[in-house]
Amino acid sequence: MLKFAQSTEWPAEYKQGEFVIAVINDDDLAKTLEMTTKTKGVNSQPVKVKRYTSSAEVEKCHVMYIGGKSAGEIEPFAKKANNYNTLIITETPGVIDRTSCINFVVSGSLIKYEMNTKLMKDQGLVVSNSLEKLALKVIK
Amino acid sequence: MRLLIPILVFILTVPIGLRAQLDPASLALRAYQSKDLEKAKELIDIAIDDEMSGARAKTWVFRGYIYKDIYKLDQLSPDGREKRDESIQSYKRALELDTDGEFTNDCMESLRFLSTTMYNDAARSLEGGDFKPAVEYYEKYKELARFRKPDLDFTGRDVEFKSFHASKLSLLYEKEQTNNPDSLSEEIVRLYKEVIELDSNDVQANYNLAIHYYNQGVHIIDNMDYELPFEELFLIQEKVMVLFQNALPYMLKAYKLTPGKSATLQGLSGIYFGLNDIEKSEFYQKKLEALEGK
Repeated sequence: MLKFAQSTEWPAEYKQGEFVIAVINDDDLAKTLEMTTKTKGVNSQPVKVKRYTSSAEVEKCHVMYIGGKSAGEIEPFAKKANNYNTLIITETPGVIDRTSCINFVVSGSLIKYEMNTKLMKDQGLVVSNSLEKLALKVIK
Repeated sequence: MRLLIPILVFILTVPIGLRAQLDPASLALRAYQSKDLEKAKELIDIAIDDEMSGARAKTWVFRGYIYKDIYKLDQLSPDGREKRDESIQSYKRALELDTDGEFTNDCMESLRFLSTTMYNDAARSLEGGDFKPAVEYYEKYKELARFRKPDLDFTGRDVEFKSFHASKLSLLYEKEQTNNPDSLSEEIVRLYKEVIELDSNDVQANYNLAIHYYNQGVHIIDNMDYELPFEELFLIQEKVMVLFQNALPYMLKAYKLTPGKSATLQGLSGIYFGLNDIEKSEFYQKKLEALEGK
């Protein structure tokens, strides 16, 4: 996740202050991120990890990870995040086509990812070309 | 020249009984009886060089005893161990010369004792982390035990020795007390695989080998540098997956052998989680929770 954040460029107004990562439905991941980013920022910005339990809580954030097994669980959060320049990351099958910017999938035993570059552009995000090359699937 | 003649005259004229008393083997016995082992050793070494004494099994048996007793006073020093080797060679020579089998039982019993001390040295060396001498002592023990009983089955002993050896190496590996972790890891894997080849139902070896592979994978993940390029991160991921895949059959075997063991269930849940098979990971996690009454 941090690697994706490092390889993405946000609009100018997102390049100051805290780099906010919102985590939904995965407390373990939130804790790991907090630990990992304690001494290491993203793109020279200090990282703040936020946990949301309801879509009503969603505020401006750089990255939003939404854990969940169905599109129904993910969409309310994604919809709110669409109001901001947010990189939405998921790991749910079938959501890459319209909801998620980056979706982790298990291929064999390996974790790979799919990308929706169209959605990323819509979100005002510029992504490194090298990420596209390594993606399992790219929606343009 | 003037002195030599009286000496020769003296030797040639001494009665036969007195000459026997001057026989180095007899003198060695006398020294041995008076607990002067060093003197006994000197004399018995002279005796074996004598054509007649050296051809007698009895002389060599006696030499074996003398050297064995000296070794018993100083079992842990290189010098003491050299005496043990001499003792062994003496008993072996005695057995060659003992065509009537008069001393066979005595020699075999002493060799049994000495082979046990070899095994103890092997275990002691392993315990102290001296792995090379440990293997050498163990091989010597086997050689001697095989000499006594050519059909002896070493399977149990081999399993015991190799498992202990592997577990000691694993401790070093886990504490990162090595300059060459890859070579140490290969050694650990080789030893556990040898144990499993000897006894495929050895639960501990199956479990330990699985844990070794699994821990290697976890160690790589824990030390992964997230600044690395994506390509390298993927390569690392593939390497880790291979380690988890290697671990799986051994942990499954350990589980099959002892299905009610919580460590094995925990191991399987962890390995499947590492392999991104969350369904199976949760399956074993639930079994573990049921076992622990959660």
